[in-house]
This record gives sequence, C-alpha cells and structure tokens, in this order.
Amino acid sequence: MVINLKNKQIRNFCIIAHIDHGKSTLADRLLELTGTVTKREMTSQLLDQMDLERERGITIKAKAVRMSYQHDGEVYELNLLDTPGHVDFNYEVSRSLAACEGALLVVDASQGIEAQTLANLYLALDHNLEIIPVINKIDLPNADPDMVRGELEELGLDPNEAILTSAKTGQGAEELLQAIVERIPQPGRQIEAPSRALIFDSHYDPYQGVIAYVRVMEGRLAPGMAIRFMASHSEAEIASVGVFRPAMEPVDALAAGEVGYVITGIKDVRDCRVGDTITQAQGGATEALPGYMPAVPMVYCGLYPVENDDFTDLREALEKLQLNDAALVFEPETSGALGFGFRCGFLGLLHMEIIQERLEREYNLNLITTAPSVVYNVKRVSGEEFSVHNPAQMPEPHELEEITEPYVHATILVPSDYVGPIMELCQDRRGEYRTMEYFPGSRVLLHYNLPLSEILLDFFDKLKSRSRGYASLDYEYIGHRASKLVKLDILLNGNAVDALSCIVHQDKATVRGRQLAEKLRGVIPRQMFEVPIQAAIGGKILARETVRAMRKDVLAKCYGGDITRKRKLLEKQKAGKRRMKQLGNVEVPQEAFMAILSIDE
Amino acid sequence: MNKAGVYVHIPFCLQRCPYCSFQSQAIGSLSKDAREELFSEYIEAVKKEANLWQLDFAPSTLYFGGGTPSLLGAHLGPMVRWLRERFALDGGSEITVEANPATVGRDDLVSLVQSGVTRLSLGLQSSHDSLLTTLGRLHTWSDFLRTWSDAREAGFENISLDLIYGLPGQDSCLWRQTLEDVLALRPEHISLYALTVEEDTPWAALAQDIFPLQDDVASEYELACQLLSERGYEHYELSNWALPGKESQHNLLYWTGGEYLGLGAAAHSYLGGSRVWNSWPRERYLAQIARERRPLNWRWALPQAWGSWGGLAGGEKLPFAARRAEALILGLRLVGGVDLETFSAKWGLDPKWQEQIEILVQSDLLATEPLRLTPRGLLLANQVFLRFLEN
Repeated sequence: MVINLKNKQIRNFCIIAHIDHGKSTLADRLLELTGTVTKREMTSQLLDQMDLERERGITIKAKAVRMSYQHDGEVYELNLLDTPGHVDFNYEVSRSLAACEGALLVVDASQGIEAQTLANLYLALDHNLEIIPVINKIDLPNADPDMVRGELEELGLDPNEAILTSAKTGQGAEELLQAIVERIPQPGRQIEAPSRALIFDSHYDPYQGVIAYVRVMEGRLAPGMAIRFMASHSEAEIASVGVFRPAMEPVDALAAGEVGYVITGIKDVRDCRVGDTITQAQGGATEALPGYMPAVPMVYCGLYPVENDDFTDLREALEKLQLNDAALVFEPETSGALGFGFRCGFLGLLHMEIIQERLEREYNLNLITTAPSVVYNVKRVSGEEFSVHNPAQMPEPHELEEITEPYVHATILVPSDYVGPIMELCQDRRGEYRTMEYFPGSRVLLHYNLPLSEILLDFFDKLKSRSRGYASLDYEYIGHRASKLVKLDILLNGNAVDALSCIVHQDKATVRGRQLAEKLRGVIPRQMFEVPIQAAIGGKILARETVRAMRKDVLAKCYGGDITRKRKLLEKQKAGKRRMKQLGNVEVPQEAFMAILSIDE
Repeated sequence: MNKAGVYVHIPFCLQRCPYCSFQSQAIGSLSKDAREELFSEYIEAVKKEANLWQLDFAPSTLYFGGGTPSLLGAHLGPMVRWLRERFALDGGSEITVEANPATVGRDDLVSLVQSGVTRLSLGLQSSHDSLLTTLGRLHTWSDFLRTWSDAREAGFENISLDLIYGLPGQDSCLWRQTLEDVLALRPEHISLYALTVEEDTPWAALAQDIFPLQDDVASEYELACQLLSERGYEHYELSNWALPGKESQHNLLYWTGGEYLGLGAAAHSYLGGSRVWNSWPRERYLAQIARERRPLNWRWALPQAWGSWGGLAGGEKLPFAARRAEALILGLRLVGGVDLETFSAKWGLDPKWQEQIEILVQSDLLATEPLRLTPRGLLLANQVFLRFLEN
C-alpha cells in the first residue's frame, strides 16, 4: 500500500500569467483534455467562480484542481493550482508557488511579458520551480512569438523550450500536457516523516466550516488525526480530506506530494491562515515550513452606511465576509460627518474595491467609502509613538516630532519610447530612482522607491495613459520612511468634514488643496443655497471654491394628464438623492470622498 | 361631486418636431386619400371606445390634444358634436382643440366654432422664424398671424398660445421680444414651457453646450413672470398664465384631482382613484378596440381591466399615502397653492409633512396659508415635491 502510494506519479504546478493573457482559458483546455470536465459542463473559465472575478477577468482567490492524465502507459495525477493575478495578493501567489514543483509561464504572443508576470517569475525561480514557458494566443494576427522568445532568453530561459499554444482553439494543449509530465519533477514523497502540510488557500463554507487547501510536504493527513496549526497554535481534529476534481471528492488520506483539502470544523479562517503549517498534534514536526507571514493590511478606508440605521447590517456583512477573508480587518469608528461606521484594512486597492462591491451587491448596502489611505507611524513631541489609520486622526503639526510612511519598491516595465514620461511621473510622485534594465523588444524595466500613498493616488491610471496602456507595474513593501507630511482639511459650508481630510506632502500641500477644492466644486451638486468649499492646513485656509445655489429644477409640461410619468421622474430623482450623504445640510455624493484620488495634475 | 373631463388624443402630425417626445405619427408623406382613411378608421375606433365605457360622471370639459388635432380638418366638427352628445356636454362646457398654425384653414375654424368648440390652443412656440426653423416647425410668424386673425374672425374668444424658451440661440433679448409680440395680440391664455430635452428625441444626441445654461433659463422664466403680471395676466399654474376667468378648466382637472377619461391611442385617464393608459402604437390600440365587445362599468371593474380591456395598456392604483402625497404635489403646482384645511378635510394630513414644510419655509421655497410655492420655489418645484413624495 505504502509502496504503491510512493510510486504514484504526481505533478504539481501553477500558471503564472498577466491579466488577459489567457490563463483561465488555458486551464479550461487542460481540464477538458484530461476529461476532468466535459465540454458540456464547462461554463466558460471554470476556475473563476465568483461573478466579480468573471466580470473583471481576473482570478481573486487561488483554487486547486486534480486531473488524471495518461502518458506512455503511465497515469499521472496533475494538480493545477490557480494563482491570483494581482499585486494585492502577492503573498497568496508565493504560497501557491511554494506548494508546486513547476510553473507554466504564460505570455501573450502579441503583448510580451508584463511587470507582474516578471515579479511572479522571479518568485517562482526563488522557489526553484521548473519553468515551462508558454507562448499563448498564437492564433491572433499580430502574434509575434519570436519577440517573446527573445524576451524569454533575456530572462535566462531557454526559448527553444517554449510551447506555442492557442488556448482559444486548443492548439498546443496536448503538447503542453506532455511537457508537464516530462519536465516537472516528481515531488518528494517522505510519507513516514512527521507530517507537514502547507496551507496555500482556504475558504469558509457555512455547512462544513473552514476548508483548507493544502500541499502535503511530508507525512500524511487522514480523517481522525489530531492536528496543530504551527503559526496560529490552534488545534483540531481532521473531519475529512479530499481532492478537487473539480468538485470536492473525499479520499482516505493525503500523502506527501499530494494536493487537496482538509476539513476540521474550524469556523474562523483566521485560525487557519494561508502560509501556516499543519502537523500532528502529538509528535509532530518541530519546525514549520518557511515563509509564513501574517496578512498585514496596507490600505485603510472608512466604510459608512448612507442611512445610519444600516450600521448593524454593515457590521454583520463585514463579519460574514471576514469568515472567508483573513486579510480583512475592521473596527468601529465614528466620524463627525458620517456618523457610525468602520475603519477597514485591506491588502491593497483591488482588495478594497472587491469588498466594497460585494457589500453593495451581495448585501444590498448603500455605502459611503472614504478615500483609501496608508498606515502612518507617528511620533509625538512627547515621545509617544503610534500608528494612524485614518487621516482625520493625524495630530496637529505642532504636536508632531516625526511621521513615517510606507515605501514600496516599484518595478515598471515599459516600452522605451515612454520611459521619459513615466520617469517624470515617478519623480512627480516623490519617486527615488534605483536602476533600469533593458529588455529585448526595446522595453525597459524601471526600478523606483515610491511612497505607497502616491501609488494609491491614481498612479496606475496615469501610468497607463502616459504609456498608451503599455506600461505594467508591480511593487513590494520595503519599510516605513520619514516624510514631511501634513493633514489637509476640507471645510464645507464652514464646517470641517473629517471624512474628507487627507495626508499630503508639505511641498505639494497648497497645490493639492487648490486642486481638491476645485475638483469638489465639480462633484458636489448644486444645493438650495451656496456652498463654500475651503481647503485648510492647521486652520490656515489655502483655497476656496463655491458651489452656486441651484436656480431651476422643475418639470414643465404635462402630456394629456400623464401624471404617472411625472411621478416616476420624481421618484428617479429621489433615488439619486438617497445615494448621497447628508453632511449638515449639504448633500454629498460618494464621488466627493474619492475626489482626492483623481485630481488632475 | 368633483369636476370631470374628457381628453381625446389625436396622434398625427405632418412631421415630428425634433424635441418632442409625445406619442404621434408623422403622416406628411401620405396621400390625401391615405390620410382620409387613417382618420376615419381612427375616429370610428375612438367613438367605439367612448361607447364601451359605462360612466356615471358628468364631464364639463372636452379637450382634443395631440399630435395635431387640427390635421383632422373637416372630420373634427362632426366628431366634436358626436362627443358632446355622447357625454351630454352642455353649452357652458369648455371644449378645447389644439391646432398648429400651418395646418388649420379659415373654413375649419368656422366649422369648429359652429360645432361648439369654445377654446383654441395654438402651438406658436416663438415669434422668430429662425427659432421656428430650429424647432422644426412648419409655420412662420406671418403664417401664425393669419391663423390668429382667421380664428378671431371665426369667433374664437378664448385662445391660448404655447411658447418655448431655453432654446439654442435664444437669448433674453429674443425671448423678451417674443413675449412682447404675443402680448400685443392679447391672447386669453399663455403657456410657457422651458425646453426639456427628452431622452428618446433627436435632440438628446446634440452636444449639451448648444443649449443655454439653466441659470439663464431661470432668468427667462422670471422675466416672463414679471412681464405677464404687468400686463394683467394671472400666473395660476407653474407654466400657465391667463386673463382673469380664462384659466384652462380642463388642465385644472389634472392638478385638482378631477377625474378624466382619456380616449384614443396612448391617452391617459384618472377614474375612481386609478390611473390607466391606453396602448401605443396606434395599430395596437385599434386592434384591441376592434376585438372588444364587453362594455365596462368602471366603478367596480377598473383595476381588473388594466391591460386586458378596451384600449388599455396598463394602470395603477397607488396606496392611500402615495395618492395623498400626489394630491398635495399636484395641488402645489397651482400658484394659489393648497388650502390645508380643505385638503385635510378630504385626505387628512401626513404627520411627516410638518417638519418638511418647516424646512421648506426656512429655505424660502414654500409659504403658508395657503401652502404655496414662493417665487423661488416656482423655479425649484421639484426640490419641494421630492420632500413630499412617498418612497
């Protein structure tokens, strides 16, 4: 039995690709070819299950599927680990990579490599994975496989080993499966050793509790085993283990080298974190698998119900989302302007947008989201040190000894024609140039140190517009650094609105204040009275704009007694009003709270 | 008993105006014979519809709207007579026909007066030929003047003129001049409509910046208010002015909760607290009417009949609170406002209103006793209505 297990041929791999380079479609073809899913069952792009994922064309959470493939008389068990394709989820990607022996590097034949793909490729190389380059979308008229081969060579990969595919037509998929079994090494199968299993993802199921997605590195996991989570120190008993084909299918045990799921009855994803190691409760491993990091929110924003009565519903919705998302943190806060709400922490902007959209869509909440901000570390003159998650809570300038803000190492891959404008953008955003690398196909990889807060400010859109959409970005946190920062306050109708405060660099404060006031004038609709908008720092007014009073709002003509139509028009108008937040007697739309993110420079 | 009226929709125009979203069909390219056939078929259907309704109300107004009712020409007189008889309208009734200056001849006008039409509503829109061209109108200022004197000579003593302001290329000078041109004729009634660009019209596709700023349009309204008041016109509804005693009795029904029966394609009715509307396009209406054989006693059968009986396409009967709010909103369209005591006797007052009224009075949008829009509130009426709207 044990020998038989040991002889089983296993290949664990994941797919590294940029958004839109065809990862999900390629995965679909592999599932079809191996008979895991029939064509009929195939809803397009099976691995992207959430509506949001499908709409945005990106994978948010990693998943795993087991396939069986016959080659030269041998049956292979192929485990495909899907990885999220966004910088917010880099840590999840790294854990998925750590669970594999190989990776398919999928590159669009017409687009070439992008910054995020590059970052993930380096991650995969760090984990000593066997890389199979895949040049996809070769059916497109502007496909240029040779250009991509050149790029691969530059990256130290063998361009002749690249496999040409069209995930759309299925061309090259069979050849790819052969390469997977031939080139990716068999995982280590030390079944007798103390068990160590890496959790690379998890999700919460209302009936079964937390389902952990694991790769068993050594030993085995079976129902009835008492286990310990080495980082969270929680303990549990395994209720069942199994694999995804792609539906969940229980098995007797998961042994070293295998990928599958573990159900323990744990109810909280925070007790079962991605990157944690599972071992036996008694006589287990002494050392956890390397690389665990607790999820640290990088971006915070305030979430407030438009109607104060919805506060409890919002809390319940956040609690439910948190069951499935260990990276989401929140705590109640009070805003003078917005009332009761929550300060929420996220891995990044995309993570924030996803949560916000799910709250509105799945929980039918009408929300005001304040502009995202980073975590500032503050030292008072008194020597007291603390973190500020909400710009409104930044102490007054005279109380401050020092403020530090998070910096990232950003890598930007851009065609050399656009290097100038992109470097200019980085300088504008207080970037610190590090180095640049040249790529074939006349592309340049720029390295900058940038304050994370500057990346939150519309950086990605600016990057795209200054490079005609060609530039791509990746970044990683490198630590906090001291900066000359000040709090910019906004006053509406003479009253400071805490939810509109933001932290800006001292040198840019006046310009930003003016731009923000101007932007708000365009965003805040005209009211029954004139509304002055002022930008101020520490009580000093920097800029003033005015939203003039509304003069005319009336439905003139009535067609032959059609009162119903008139009422419906009024109802529509009222519904629009209801989405706005009442600040004193000023009605403010959601866009106003995000105005700081999109001011024109 | 509440007052009541009958509305007849005539859904034909020579050509569609690019700003208009009302239900009508352009027939300018049809031959005279083809038009005659259309008219006869349509009038027969309207008569059949009128006979299907078993009504116990006594209307005192009859209104032909459109479209362009005057296009019916010689058909119109007999139709008016038939309807007067059907609904027992006596000599004191207000009977209005909408007409376009380019589509109505002197003989037609004489025949209308002889048939008992008491009021003519002319779609003048502007006294400037360049603006009339912009509007896609087929008449000129001088065409209108001819129709005007024909109408007076035919015996019309109650004529209403429609004007539009807020037009591309219309500054306050041109607007003042149009008002002066019109006031010189001393019509009994004047309706002024700010241009509203409706989504389903050709003008919706035009660049927004060709239209005047809403602030300037507001000034044009204020200019008209002042000028018309100086010349003895009473501002009795948001968009309507009249010489004393010449208010449109039919249109007042809409704002005062009066009942009205709408006949013809796309016509709207308000009967027994229900609002119902007929089918559009015309062919669907005609087919429905042709099939129908069951008379309807509306007092008990109306809600069940929505969408399934006669020419109806649908209807609604709002919950009590919504009807009450609607009654208040409609009443506030009248410049004289709503006497809350009378209103309360009929409907009762919603306790939520008190706070809203206080806010609106503080904002100089409403005045009390009677509850009415202030001059500023007239221009911001929607902002007032929204506070009373249910849901």
